[in-house]
Amino acid sequence: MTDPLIEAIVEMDEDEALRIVNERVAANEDPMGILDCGREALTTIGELFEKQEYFLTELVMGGEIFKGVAAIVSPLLKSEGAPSKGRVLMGTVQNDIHDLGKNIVVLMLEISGFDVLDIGVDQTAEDFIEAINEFDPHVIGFCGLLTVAFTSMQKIAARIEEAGLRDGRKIMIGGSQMDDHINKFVGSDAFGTDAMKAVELSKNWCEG
Amino acid sequence: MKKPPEELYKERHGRYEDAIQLKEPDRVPIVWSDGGSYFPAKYVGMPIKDAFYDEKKWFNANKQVFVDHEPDMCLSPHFFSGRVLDLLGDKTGKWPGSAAGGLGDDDPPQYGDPDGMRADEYDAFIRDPSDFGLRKLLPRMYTALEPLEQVVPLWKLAFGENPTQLLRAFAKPGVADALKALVEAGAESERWVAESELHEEELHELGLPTFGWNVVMPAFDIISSPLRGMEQIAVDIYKQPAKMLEAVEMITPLLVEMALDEVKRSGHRNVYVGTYWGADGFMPLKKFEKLYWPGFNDLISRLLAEDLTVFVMLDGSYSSKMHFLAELPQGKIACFFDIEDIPQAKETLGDTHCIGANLPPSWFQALTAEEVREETKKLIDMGGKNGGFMICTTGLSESADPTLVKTCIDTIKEYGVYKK
Repeated sequence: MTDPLIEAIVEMDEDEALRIVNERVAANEDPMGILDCGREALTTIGELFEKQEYFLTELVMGGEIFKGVAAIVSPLLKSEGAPSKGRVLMGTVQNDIHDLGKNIVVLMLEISGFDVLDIGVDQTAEDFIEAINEFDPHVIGFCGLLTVAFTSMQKIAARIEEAGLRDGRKIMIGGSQMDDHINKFVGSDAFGTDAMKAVELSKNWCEG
Repeated sequence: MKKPPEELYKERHGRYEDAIQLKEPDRVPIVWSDGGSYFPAKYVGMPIKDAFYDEKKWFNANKQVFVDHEPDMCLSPHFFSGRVLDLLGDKTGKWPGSAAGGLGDDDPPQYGDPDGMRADEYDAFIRDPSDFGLRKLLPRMYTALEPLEQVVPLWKLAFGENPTQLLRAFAKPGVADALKALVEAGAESERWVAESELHEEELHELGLPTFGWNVVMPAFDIISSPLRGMEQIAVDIYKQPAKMLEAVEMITPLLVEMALDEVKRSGHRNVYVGTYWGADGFMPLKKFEKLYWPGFNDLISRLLAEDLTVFVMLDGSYSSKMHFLAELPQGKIACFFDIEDIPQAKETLGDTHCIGANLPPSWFQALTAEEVREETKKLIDMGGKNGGFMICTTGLSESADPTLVKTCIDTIKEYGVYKK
């Protein structure tokens, strides 16, 4: 890690990160290059999370700094980014309105190169099916913090199967209460209790 | 022949007390806590809406669960009156039967992150939490109380200011309606509290010991909810840790006062400490040590110094924090862990604190009866040795299969017997 911008973000030094970004914008540096530094920093934060050196607070704070960087740089971007690694549909399931975990997963998937459609919280089977038809995702992620989410997830997975939309797609479930028992109960392909697991699963499934 | 209720009460309470005092009772005690779920509603076949709008039905449903499972200690059921929430116009939650609609009669309630305290309001909160609660927090949480923003800071009352000038604020638009909503909500609250007291007496008469409903959270968790919300807390940890610590130091002694007030009201010398942000996965150990642990340790130490029995519900894994927990003063304390932590907790803390196990929700939705039986036996094998151990039903949810719950409880009663 030699770039001072990456270092500032990874060290959670927001003031320094934004100072460097403003300095580089004023010096007419390539905005895409600046944004790439932000992405690389979040990837490093994700790696530190996997090593259990960083935790939820650093994922949130890193995301917060990244949003600040993107807010300065995004209006200056002219070209499209790199090709997508795959499409991931994300939503918190019916009867659950928690979105902190989902938002972190969405951010980490996006910075990892996935095209993500986030349909929000308290989403029914019909909401997911409509989104599958429109977005044609490779991976579908059900999020839920509450135990009531288990049953919602099971119902939504069954409805997706009934609608003939399961073939060729993978379903992952995420939330702090998920375990192997619930994975089997829902009929999903895998479960995760943190954001990096969602990135790892999506990479494995989309890159084959 | 069934034993008389007084004898059963004594036997059950003694079992629980033995475990708290690190002794070996006749079998592993069962502590019943619905963990804030609506399992009792599902159990008796009533819509969850009734748990919010019919206090008699809700407490009777809980009583039925207790009577059918005969635990050794019943944590009193939580309750939220839907009418109180309707009268106040609660902004952060949705509940079945609500005047605002949005949920079916049998949907469980949903609670979002609060819009309680803004990032730049720590100083105002620390300076005068009563004023902050009245004029900032309540108006943000409840539509009917929005007019209270216009009320003058009440500390002025203590400074002898001319009441003719001071009380003008109560004539501002909407303030009278806000006060009326508070009075009506207060009357409704009284009905629920009275019913809960009646419910507790009934349980005692049936031989079922109760814990009361003395619940506090460490100050750090209070700052998270109802004040700042989870996402904002994560940012505050980096942007204003000194303010957080200042708030923690201000809040903690007041929490002990709250707990003692409830002891005085109920006569129960128990307090339940619910924790969230202390679990592994939220923040690095160094941040935990600096920001979470001082307030948590201070709270537990102060409660134990008051000779209260303290239940610490450790939600999530604490495997990296065992050495911190080992520092907690000895006393009447039970630390409840998720089952993955039980072997380590027993090894590290088993000589000083009673270890409790939280049953995982997945057992009651995803396993077969035979699997539940086997998992329950494994849990008892892991934690039960030499006593000082109890099992808590916190993982129950409204989706739990009652047959599997019964299987688990029956297994504890059969397999959890200590051989004398």
